[in-house]
Amino acid sequence: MKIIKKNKNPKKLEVLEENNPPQLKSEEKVDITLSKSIDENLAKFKAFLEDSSDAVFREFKLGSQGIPCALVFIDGLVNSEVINENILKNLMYEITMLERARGQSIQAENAYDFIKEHAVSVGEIAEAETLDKSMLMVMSGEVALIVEGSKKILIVNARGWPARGVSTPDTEGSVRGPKDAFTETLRVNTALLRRKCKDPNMVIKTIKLGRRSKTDVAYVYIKGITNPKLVEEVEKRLNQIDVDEIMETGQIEQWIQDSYLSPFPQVQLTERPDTTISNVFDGRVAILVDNSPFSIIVPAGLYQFFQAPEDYYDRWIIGSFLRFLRWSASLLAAFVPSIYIAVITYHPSFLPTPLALAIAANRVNIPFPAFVEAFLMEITIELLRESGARLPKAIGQTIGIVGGIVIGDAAVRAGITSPSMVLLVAITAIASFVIPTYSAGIALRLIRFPLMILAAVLGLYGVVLGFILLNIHLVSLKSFGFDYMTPQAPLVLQDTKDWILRLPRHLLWNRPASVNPVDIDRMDQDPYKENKNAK
Amino acid sequence: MLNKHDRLGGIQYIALISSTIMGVIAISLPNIAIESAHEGALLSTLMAGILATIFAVIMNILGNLFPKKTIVEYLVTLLGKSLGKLLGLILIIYFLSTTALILRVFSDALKGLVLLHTPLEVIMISMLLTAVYLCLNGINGIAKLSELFLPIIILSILLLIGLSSSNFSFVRLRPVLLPSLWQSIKSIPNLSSAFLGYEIILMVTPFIARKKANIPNTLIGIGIPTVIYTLLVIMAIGAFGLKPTQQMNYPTITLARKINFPGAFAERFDIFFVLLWILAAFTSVANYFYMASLSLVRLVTLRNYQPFVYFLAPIVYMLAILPQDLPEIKMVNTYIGYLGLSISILAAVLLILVLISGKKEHENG
Repeated sequence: MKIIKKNKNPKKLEVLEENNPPQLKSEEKVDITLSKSIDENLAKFKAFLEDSSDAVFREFKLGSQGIPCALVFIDGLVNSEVINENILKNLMYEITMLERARGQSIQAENAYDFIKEHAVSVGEIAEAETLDKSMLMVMSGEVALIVEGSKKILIVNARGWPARGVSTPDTEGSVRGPKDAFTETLRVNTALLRRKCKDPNMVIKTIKLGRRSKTDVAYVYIKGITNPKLVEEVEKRLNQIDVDEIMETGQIEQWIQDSYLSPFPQVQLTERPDTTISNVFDGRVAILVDNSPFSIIVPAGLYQFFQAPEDYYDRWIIGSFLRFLRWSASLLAAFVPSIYIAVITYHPSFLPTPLALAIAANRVNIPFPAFVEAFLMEITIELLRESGARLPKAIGQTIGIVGGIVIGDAAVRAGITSPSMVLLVAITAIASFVIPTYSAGIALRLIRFPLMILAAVLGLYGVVLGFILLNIHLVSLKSFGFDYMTPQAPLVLQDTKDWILRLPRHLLWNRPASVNPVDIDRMDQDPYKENKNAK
Repeated sequence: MLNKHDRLGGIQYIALISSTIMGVIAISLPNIAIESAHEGALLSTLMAGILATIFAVIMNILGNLFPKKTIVEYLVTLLGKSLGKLLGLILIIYFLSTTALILRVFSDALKGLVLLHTPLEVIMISMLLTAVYLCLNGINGIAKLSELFLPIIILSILLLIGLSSSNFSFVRLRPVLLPSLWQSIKSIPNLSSAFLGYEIILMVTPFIARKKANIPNTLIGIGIPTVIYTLLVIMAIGAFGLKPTQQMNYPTITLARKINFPGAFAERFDIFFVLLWILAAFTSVANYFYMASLSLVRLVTLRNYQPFVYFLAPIVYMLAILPQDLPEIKMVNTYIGYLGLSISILAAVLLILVLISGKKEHENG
């Protein structure tokens, strides 16, 4: 019907109607309230599902009275062993033995309750009183058991679909720390989190999003740590999402972020359960989406994208060194090409004379200005990176070799670029991959292009202007109402302990104050101080 | 909303004052000090700083008496509509012309130092547009940016001072240690224009979280530039001597040029410090520009200041290109310095007036 409304040419309206005879939506075909008759109920299910080949309707008779019953489920989403052993076997065979032992036969009036209480040997069952609810359950992989004479439908959990097992993280490798990563099944992911936190105060709430996809979206927080206002805000933003389909965490991210006009990620995406849970312990909220092996952590500050789980597992000196390395690397990745362009083009006197002469000698035969040279090389390395990410692993290696030759040698010999430029591009590329979070790394790689243009136009002054503009943008960003540039702007002194440096564990007694948790203390007292007192 | 930092905190208040004061003049301060006070350069810099501190504290007390108003509004409350609005207009003109002056001085210096072939207009317009972008983010953005840049600026100046300590000699410093008191006092008005910027207190007190705009914070905010400026004067005189410093246009940059750092990657450290000085100059331009647009919107009692930012940007640009040459800029500088001092004195008069008449705003009023 929408097609006709959108069509602005009324002459074609009849043609359209001829081609598309009005199709009744399944909801319009039948009355969706349930009745006591099994035939009617089954007909209602069939109205929706009769065209689908994977829907199974299994009708059978129950007990000595032969009460008609039926199972409705989707083949492939259910575990057939459970259906055969724990449902059908019980209902068709063992129930007659039960009748004989009790000396009474089951009547149609009490059949439903009897089945629920005595016959179905499955842990998780539920009842549905409307067709909507039972249909949703069937579509999520449960089994609907319809019994003659009851207005309710028994929902038996027999979920079992092909799923990938828990494996190591692909994008966030770590040397130390647990090696498990989220999978595509929400239940597995929540289990991974529960395994790491046995506090019953950890709440995992689930809502269904997506008008048609009805994707399960769970948000996780710890009562008594997380600020309730933050949880409210998360609920509010999640409930505002009203679209057909939710396929991935990234879609949720784009609906709930604060500013869509920024290249910088305003929520943290991670596939590591340990990162997720430690952020939840910090008073943040994690959002998990069914069918996605990533979790969203909100609110996010820029500094979080420079943290890797090893920082906390390793000794603090090493952790601090790595942190510092990453911050420097991010500055390198963003600013080195533009500074090179500016210095070569406008301020060669900035360099020591021997170095300036060496670079000038290198560049004698290069036909392009420094900006074009740098731009070409940066684009080339981005192309290599992107093609390497898309290609199958076997061919990806070829790209690496070809890229190495092209960038390292051929481009220089062909007189397109100078060796110093190659060195520079290589340093930038390596530095940009040091940042542990993919989305933050790509944002930094992106902003170096406008910076290069500014450098080509205004020299080092342009680079500084770019730095100022970047910082204005960053301080104006918010993530769920929290400042993006914490703990520096606004300065939150107690959070700076876990910022560019990662101070010793016993000094990190407080949770990040910038996310405003209810309970700020991570530990009671400085443990070393306590020992000293004891002595 | 969720954030407890929505109003400006104490550190942000300090950063706002310091970064507004420390600006374009940092690179030429020793020269100005010696030119006007000769042997009294050091003492008079220090005294100008102390004078600025006194005025800042007065403005702080005055602002705290009217916790929800800027000076443009309480001028009207105190002096009546016509006189109050007139003084408010003068204040706007002052803020606008200061923005333009800083912009012009900055662009001239930058052109002379690093961008010899870039047109002055390009430097000015690019700077002004960046300031417009910041001002559109409001007082929170400005405060956060000041907070972000202030440590960088302070650290770089301390680095400069530390690295050039090898050129420093106490012998050269001797003439300024026993200055004539009268000469020092005489040149305070000239030098106090270097410390202008604390007028921002008059405009920002309503945005500060309660009790954060207290006098200790003001003292810290103005103490940072006073200490740094005094150190810069000491270092310049100690490194070059009195007479040679007077010949230099930008003694601070010369100080950086003389740095000899074994095995350094860069030959000329002065460019590095020029770059960091751009940050300092930018925060001054942007903060003054914001004050100008904020005071204008408060004067005409409207709410949204953002259209005024667009409206005032061309005016600032036109004011900035008005002076023809260096003597004219110096003349304008002197006049604006006196205007700034008059505004500080006006604040003191207003405070006395409030204390006499008792017209202060009540906490909930």
